[in-house]
Amino acid sequence: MTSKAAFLARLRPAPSPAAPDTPPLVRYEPARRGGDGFAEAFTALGGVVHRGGLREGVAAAAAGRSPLLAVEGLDLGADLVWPGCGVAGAARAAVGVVRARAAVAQTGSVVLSAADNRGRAASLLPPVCVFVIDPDTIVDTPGDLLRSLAEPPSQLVLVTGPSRSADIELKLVVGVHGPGEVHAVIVSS
Amino acid sequence: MSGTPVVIGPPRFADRADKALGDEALRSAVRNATQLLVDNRAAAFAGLAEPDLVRDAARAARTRILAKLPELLDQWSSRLEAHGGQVHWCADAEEAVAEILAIVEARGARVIAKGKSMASEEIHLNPALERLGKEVVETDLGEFIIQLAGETPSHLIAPAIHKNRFDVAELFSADAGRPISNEIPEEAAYARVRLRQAFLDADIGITGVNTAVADAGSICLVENEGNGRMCTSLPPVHIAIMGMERIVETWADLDLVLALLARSATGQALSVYTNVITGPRREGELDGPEELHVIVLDNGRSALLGGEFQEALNCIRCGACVNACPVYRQVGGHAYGSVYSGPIGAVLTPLLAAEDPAARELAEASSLCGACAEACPVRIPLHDLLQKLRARSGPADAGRARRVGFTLWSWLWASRPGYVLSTGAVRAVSPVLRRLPPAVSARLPGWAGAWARTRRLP
Repeated sequence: MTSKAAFLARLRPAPSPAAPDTPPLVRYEPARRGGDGFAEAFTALGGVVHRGGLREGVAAAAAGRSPLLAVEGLDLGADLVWPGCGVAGAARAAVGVVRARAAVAQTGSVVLSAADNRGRAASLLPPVCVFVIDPDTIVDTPGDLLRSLAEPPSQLVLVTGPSRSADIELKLVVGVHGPGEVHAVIVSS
Repeated sequence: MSGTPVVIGPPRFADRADKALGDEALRSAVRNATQLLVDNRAAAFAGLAEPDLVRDAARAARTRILAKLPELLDQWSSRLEAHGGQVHWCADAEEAVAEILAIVEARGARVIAKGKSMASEEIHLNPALERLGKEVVETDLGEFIIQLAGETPSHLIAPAIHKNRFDVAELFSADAGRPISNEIPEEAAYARVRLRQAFLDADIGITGVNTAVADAGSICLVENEGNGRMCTSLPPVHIAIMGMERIVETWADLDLVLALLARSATGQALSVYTNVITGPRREGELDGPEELHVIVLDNGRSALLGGEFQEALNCIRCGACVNACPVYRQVGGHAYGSVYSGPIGAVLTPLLAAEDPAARELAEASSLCGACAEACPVRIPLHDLLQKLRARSGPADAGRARRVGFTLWSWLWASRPGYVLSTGAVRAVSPVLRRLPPAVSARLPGWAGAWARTRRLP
């Protein structure tokens, strides 16, 4: 391996002409804002939005499927609780319920943090994923979200719709490795 | 530098292209796919209020970033290391492979799950791992397909674009040991189940990096399937291979790149999963890697810094140029014989493998129409770079006849009498040439015959 110093010493780039260091904000057309904007974008991606209470929303999303997995601290009486159930438990779950750190209205993205959910598998392994979103954490654009990030956690994911692929003949398939069905339950915490 | 290009098939681009031109199934697949991606890109860009402003800003940002590259890499790596990440600085492909093999051996790893990484193809990582008896499983659906086929990717974004669902059914049936339907949803369902076990069993996950963020010490990976998340969450070790120029300074820079990347590549506002990773797992997290290693790869990139080709390093690997290129759209990616195909491949491959004539001739795989530069979200003037590459290597690589021909031509046209003489001679011969029957004119030697097959002789 080359040492860092030796590696960097070989880099002699051309100096840049003076340019503003802060890029302009990206603006969208049409612009989506707030909870309604998020709901519109999330639905357009194929997700389902539930308002009303936490238990009602999760029950509607789960639609009787089990086992239900929830991250600890969510009062749902779930069959499996993460992280106690382990990766094996997450792999068995039919529906996984996780806490979102934030959401982005423009793109319908849900922001998940490995710190808040004490890991990643709960939102990744079950085929159905339910995001519990506090409406006060919904920002307008990805730029707003990124600019608000101070110290990022070990892993932060912006989830924008269900898992998909178009690798075969460019024909869209939903639910390849990650959850193929996504729900948002919007409740004040 | 070892690696790019790996030429499969005839050694000259023209011959590989001819072979592709004869493959109607391939041409149809490539034509349909590239048109769809071009249409999707246009629709997605309509979602930006001022797309040209965003592209200009992205270009300016990349220029600023490259000018500060050593400083940004230094900052980024210090911050990542503070969060427990480990950074390996690799001057070339051999070093990168050696570093990765050392990690693999130190962990006693047997099964390796791979996310899509062009850089890993560039350094020919898979064969090196397989020679050591490791089981390497490509987990991106397109990469999984071509791994089963024993082929290399034919497109930056959709590696199996040249395979249809019947090809895939055949490959999956052989893999499964039982018939798998040729319906695409069934094929995807097979891949989901098949690869799920690989994620759970893997000792190491290896991915690429879309871009690092210097301010935070993070790396960002985007993907649609979830295999990237799997590779970076479940195995105890994550190795990320990163071209050294794939870095931005601030979160605002990342926003610009993300606003353009998925729109340019597939027509989405954002890829399904935008992963921002800042070190291995932390206290209280049940999963996530215990070790995060980032392999920073030079492999010829530093030679472009400070020179006339530096802008080629602005590339965010979206594939928009590939989809727009009339040459790619006719022959597909394998004709380029390199992991990087299309216009960016025709520019980067000769630059990264400058001592290889098979790499250098790729700069000729272009009509210089400029569609690539028009499509590029960071406004790389690819057509200008191709012309500069030709000027650089053309004289050395040209065959004798070509050199003599060009020397004679420039000597004749350097003076008025020479010009008058040569054009007069052509005018005198022209009526005869025009009356040649097609069967005869098509057989004229060299480019004259090729010209005569589709055009009138002067």
